[in-house]
Amino acid sequence: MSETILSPGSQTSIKARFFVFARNNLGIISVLISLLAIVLALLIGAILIAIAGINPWEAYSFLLKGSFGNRYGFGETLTRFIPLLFASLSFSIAYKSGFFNVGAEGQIYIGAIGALLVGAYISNLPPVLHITLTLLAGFVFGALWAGIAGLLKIFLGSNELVNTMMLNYVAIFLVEYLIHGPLKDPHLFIYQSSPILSSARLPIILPKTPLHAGFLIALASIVIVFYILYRTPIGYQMRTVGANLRAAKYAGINIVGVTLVAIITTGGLAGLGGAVELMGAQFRMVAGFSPGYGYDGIGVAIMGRHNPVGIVLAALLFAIIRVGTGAMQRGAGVPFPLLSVIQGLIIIFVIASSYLISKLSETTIGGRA
Amino acid sequence: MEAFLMGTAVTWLAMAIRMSIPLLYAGLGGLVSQKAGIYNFGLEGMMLCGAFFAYYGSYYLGSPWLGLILAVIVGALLGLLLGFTSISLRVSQVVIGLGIGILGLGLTSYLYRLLDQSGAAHVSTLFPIIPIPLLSGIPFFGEVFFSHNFMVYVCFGLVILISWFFNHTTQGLNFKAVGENPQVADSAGVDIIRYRYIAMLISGILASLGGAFLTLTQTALFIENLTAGRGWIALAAVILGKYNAWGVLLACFLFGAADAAQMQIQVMSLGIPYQFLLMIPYIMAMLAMSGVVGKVRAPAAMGKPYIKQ
Repeated sequence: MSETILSPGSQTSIKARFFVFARNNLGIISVLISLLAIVLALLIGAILIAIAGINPWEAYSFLLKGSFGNRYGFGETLTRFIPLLFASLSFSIAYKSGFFNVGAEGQIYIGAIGALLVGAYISNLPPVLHITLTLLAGFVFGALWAGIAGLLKIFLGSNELVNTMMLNYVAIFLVEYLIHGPLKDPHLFIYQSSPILSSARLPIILPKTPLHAGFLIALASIVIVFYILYRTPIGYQMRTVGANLRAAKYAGINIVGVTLVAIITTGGLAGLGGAVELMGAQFRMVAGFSPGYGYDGIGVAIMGRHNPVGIVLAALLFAIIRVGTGAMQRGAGVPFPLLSVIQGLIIIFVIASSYLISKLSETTIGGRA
Repeated sequence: MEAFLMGTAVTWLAMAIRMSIPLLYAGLGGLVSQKAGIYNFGLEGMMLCGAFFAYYGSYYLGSPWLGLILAVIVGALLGLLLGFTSISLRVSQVVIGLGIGILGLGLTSYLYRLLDQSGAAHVSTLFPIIPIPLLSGIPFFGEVFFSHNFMVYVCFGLVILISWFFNHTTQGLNFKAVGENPQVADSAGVDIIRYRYIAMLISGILASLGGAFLTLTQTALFIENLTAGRGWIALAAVILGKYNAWGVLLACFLFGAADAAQMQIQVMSLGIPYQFLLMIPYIMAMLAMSGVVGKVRAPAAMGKPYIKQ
């Protein structure tokens, strides 16, 4: 590519100036590229909407109106934001530590089961204690579920990507069994669990909307996660293991220990997301409890480029698209799976553009396996 | 009783082969890309797209052959997409693969809902079963091995072809060199980029055919998320099969047999909750892969983008 080092007095072409500008403003450039990725994905979405014989502008106006055109829609968007944020934190902290956890979906389900056991079957506790224990159960169950793939990786070197993905299917079947059998609400004919008790429920924080206190827990989690990653010794070790395993070994870092911490936090965060969703939004376990938050979280983390501000913005965007696609379906008859099309395209465009960014920054190319 | 058991065994084995073929197509697709040093984590999305477009061609364009052609084209495009991003742009192969998975799920479900607004099931034409003359008359083996549709025979042919190609041809050895030690291969005059693109093209087509097999020979219907993780099970089969075409065949047969067994047990209604039976293929894939993994060595340059010095 072009030589961008400028000596004084040399003829500076516009192109060279652009590269210098770009290199000094990589943050702005990556935001612009992300916006471009969204626009492109929405454009392709518009083509698909047109194929359905629906006016894309009309459809997209439903998207905007539905997701923050009124108080309730805005509250719903922020409510969807919560599990997306947990799932993306779960993916990011593992990714930074060199562990590919694509199993947040399953960990959300299992975490919610843990929360259900404590939230519905242990009674006579004061709310603060009950809520704390229920959240804790979600974290622990999620961590244990991720731990299956984690131990297979640590002790046998087995591919965690395939294993965490397999565990998603197993988790969903397991939950289906539980709500058909041992955890089914005996008072209902339909297959749902009993509801969690009111002492384990998270309060609504924005009246006349579904927005609950899980929102605050999510915001606290993002601060804690990035504090750990960037301001503590264990966080430093995690990032070293993720960035350069060989260097981490030379530095005498306990790889197994660090990986174990990564596995516990990645599974725990996803499990916590499941618990919060159960305690603030759904109260009962049902089939389809998570409509794919675990997979959406991967997109959020990638689009947010694994940094806290980026993740918050990306989670907000994904929540807007999710709520808005529902509104498009109700208002204009656009099939709901358009959501995954747009999200898949955003992932592909954003990751493809990382080529451009690494070219501009002239560092080594970030092509990790 | 003996006749009954024999009958059950024949049904089970024949079903095991039918269940293993989609995995085998996708597994061979995964094998070819991994031999060239690229992870194809998009197998699941490619299979699903293959399944949908094959169904679309077969039902709406009226011929399973058109469906097959459509699946090949879509598979090739997705293979090239993964190839372009991982070979030329050198970005994360895992993330692109996941992106293709999410896009594939969304696109096929979206288009299917557009087609299927009536809610009625549209049954497409299937490829017929072609019993091989004489061989299909052999008791037991005839029914198990020689009474299938042509895509089954083609798949077995591909195993022989791919195994021979990697072990007995110059190009095949070049392929392996590209995946093992691209620097050396490059200095020996092998065009790394070209080999990798060809690998991804073939990989995409094979994965898509795996999906097409489901709709063109088995279900005659499309349902959302029809492949249900088979692309990931195929990846496990590549590892369990030790990056060798015959090994992948055996691994896929093992997973297919497990799938067939759980289906038959469901029919027998032994009182085991069906959800546990449905878990079996996934758990088996996980454990079987983990059991061999320490003893298997992946191609050395796997997942590493190549930058010409």
